[in-house]
Amino acid sequence: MHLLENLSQPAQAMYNKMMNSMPEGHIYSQIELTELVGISDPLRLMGLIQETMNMGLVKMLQQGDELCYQAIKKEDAEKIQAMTKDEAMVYSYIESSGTEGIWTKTIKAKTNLHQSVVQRCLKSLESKRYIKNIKSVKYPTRKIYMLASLQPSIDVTGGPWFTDSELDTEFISSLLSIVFRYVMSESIPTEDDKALKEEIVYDQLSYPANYSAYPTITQIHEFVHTSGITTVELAQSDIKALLDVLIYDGKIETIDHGMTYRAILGATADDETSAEASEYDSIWSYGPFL
Amino acid sequence: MSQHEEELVVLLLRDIYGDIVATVVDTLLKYGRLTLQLISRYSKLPLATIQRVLVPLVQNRFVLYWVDENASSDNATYVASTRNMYNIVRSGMFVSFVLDRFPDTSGAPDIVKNLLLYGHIRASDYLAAQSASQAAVSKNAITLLLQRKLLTTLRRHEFNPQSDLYMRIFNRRLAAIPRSKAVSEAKREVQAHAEATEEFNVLKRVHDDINDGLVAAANGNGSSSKRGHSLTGSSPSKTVDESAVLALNHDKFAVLMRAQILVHLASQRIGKVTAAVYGQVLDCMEPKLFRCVDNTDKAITITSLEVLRSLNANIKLASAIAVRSSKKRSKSASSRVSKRQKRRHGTDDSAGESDDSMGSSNISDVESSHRDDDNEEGDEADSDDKCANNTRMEHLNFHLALLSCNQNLPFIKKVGNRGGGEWTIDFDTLTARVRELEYDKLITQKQGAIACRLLRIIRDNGRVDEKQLARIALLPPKDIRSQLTALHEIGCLDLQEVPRGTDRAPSRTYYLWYHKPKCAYALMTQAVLKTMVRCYARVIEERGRRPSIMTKLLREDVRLDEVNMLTPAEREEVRRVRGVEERFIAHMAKLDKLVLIFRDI
Repeated sequence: MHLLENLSQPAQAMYNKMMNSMPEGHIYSQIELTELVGISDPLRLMGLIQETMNMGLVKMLQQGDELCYQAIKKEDAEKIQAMTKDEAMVYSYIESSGTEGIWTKTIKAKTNLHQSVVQRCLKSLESKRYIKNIKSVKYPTRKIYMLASLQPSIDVTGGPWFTDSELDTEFISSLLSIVFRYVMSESIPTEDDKALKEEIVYDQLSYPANYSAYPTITQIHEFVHTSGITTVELAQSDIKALLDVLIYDGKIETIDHGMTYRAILGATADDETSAEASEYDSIWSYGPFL
Repeated sequence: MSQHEEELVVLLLRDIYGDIVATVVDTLLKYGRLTLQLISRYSKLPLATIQRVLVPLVQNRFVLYWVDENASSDNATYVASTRNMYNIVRSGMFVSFVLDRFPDTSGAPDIVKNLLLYGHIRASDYLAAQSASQAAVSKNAITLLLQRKLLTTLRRHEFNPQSDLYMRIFNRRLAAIPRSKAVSEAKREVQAHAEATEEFNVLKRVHDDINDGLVAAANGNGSSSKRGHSLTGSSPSKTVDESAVLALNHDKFAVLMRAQILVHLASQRIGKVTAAVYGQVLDCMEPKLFRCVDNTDKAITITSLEVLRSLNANIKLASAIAVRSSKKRSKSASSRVSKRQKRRHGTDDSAGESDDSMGSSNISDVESSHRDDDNEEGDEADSDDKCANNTRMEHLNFHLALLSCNQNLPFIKKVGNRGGGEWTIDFDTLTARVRELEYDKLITQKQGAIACRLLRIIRDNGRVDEKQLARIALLPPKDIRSQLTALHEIGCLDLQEVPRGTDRAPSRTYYLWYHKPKCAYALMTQAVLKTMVRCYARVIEERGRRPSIMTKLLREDVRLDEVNMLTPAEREEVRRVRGVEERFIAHMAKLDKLVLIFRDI
């Protein structure tokens, strides 16, 4: 509270108006600000802005050629006021990097601070839980920081296939096998009760050539979603990636020009080689493929 | 021709015909075209021996000869034909194939065995060597084999190398085109080439006539009438032309093996019954197919009606294809249809029934007909034949549609509606796909499923860099690299470097993986051939380890009565050697199937 108390009355009023009249984080142009506060004299307004800026309650930004202003929450302002100058500078860069995070080397280059100073600042900021260290999928060796309150973006985490910035192969393979089993169950008819009762023996069970109820990508997505296999949110494009892998594994195929999917007869869910494949078991025992 | 194939045929000839034959063939393979004197000089064998050895080689067309009509000396030159020698590997398959189709008593297997031994035989000679009753049976068998094109007739030019034949035709054609100032020399040559190619193709297809080697039975042995005009098919009144020279037709054999492979694939991908139907389709086409590769003929079509007529009555079309939906979708036929339409058309249930789109109406038709068939199986006996035939036709078309519906693996293609549906097979596309599948199977076997996944991605995307591969395959990049290099090692993949700058620094270079099927398959075939060499060498080695028993087995009296002439220990030994031999020979047959797939179909 003491930050506000240090301000003059008009400056306090301006800050309160800026905070309350628009949603948080709104950027005011000078004209907007003039209308909001009702002070037409630019010099007087400038004085007020300077006052609040000294307290770290307002941030100055540049949009094109124009200068703009943004009100900062009291708590954040207090946080920054409590920091040393270097810390505040480092913090501001980390803050501006948003959900992408920022590499320590970039911080060093931008702040022009010495390596050890940057390190010290980062350490103290991290110990206060203002920022956190994250791992990027793209650059696994870089030390990247972002605000502790934010969630890293998909670019950084690598999407649903990554757990702790590593490709979660077990998760993927279990999903692959589940999706395959589902497509398989929809691709081959099962004998119904009537057939069993009348003891009709089928040599072959096939849907007709123009059968159109093979699962589409939407259905498969829905199945994965409703089955509750995973808590990870999967988009349709993720399911498409899974299906593509299954196609490349020779387990399913697309029909209807890629609209629907069908399992290939004789394919198995597991990677174990089928009986068919072992036909050539020992072919390579002599050949130069050795 | 390849090193390993040459190695294999020399090994085979050494085992079958002995060292001298193998040496002569080896010399010919090493040095190419040679005259008698040169063979003698290089192989360091006396002339007379070589002359003796060349007789069986030429007889079997393992060695082709050429006498240049323009050359001053009349010395013949000799060229070894690897392909003809390689066919020795298939002799066992050929015999078993004929045994499957013709009973042992029909005489057909004997003819094939004799032809394998002698290379070619004049029909009259073969018949003359048999008793009258036997000869009649044999004559009949030869006629049948000729009609099936498993036997072919030989002409004089088939003992000559094709390149020489072509050059002779070309030279003759070139000489026939008059020189003139208006036509440049290059143009003359192009014209001569075009004409020669045409004439050469006619020469190559000389056996494609349906009545080749056959004469009308009543007409006697007149060879002048052997070119019948009728193209309607060989009637039973045809019989073998006794003056014809017979040989085995390996081209046709490849066609039949291809059909077997395709049917097997269909049974795996679709099902037994559809595969049986497919076999019938291929059977119907077979008389018009003469060879697998180098086929310039136009596409052959057949109609559903033709297939239906020749369809084996034992194939249970109706009960085999179960148009059963899974339980949750099948309450009754009508609800199933409406539900399906609901899926197709969104949510509107009633609209689906009225504006029957073509696809769904077909489904319901076939389903209901199939259902009727099931329910009224007992009454069917008294029902009209025509009606039954109609139902059968529907079911047949059902199977044919199944064969044609898969764009990734088009077993057949629909080209028209004549005769209840007109179909053709695009063998080039289909066999290319078979090769792909077979290659994938091999890669899976050798390198694992992951490698195969990567190969398929690369095949699908052209040139792919490692990062992209990792992204598509959903695999960590570090796992991929070892797989890719392993594939590179066996010649499956190639790597292209694309530098981003002029310095060609490795860090600033794209590495793109790509797959060249032709090259990869050729390398694979070489590997297979090499494996075959090793297999056969092993067989010979196994025999060589037991010299005493092997020499004893060669004795005439032992051969006739093995049980009594050998001691129990010896019999056990022989049994063991033969077991090993059998395993390797069977293995070679499997490998030969790969060679067939990758090279000959």
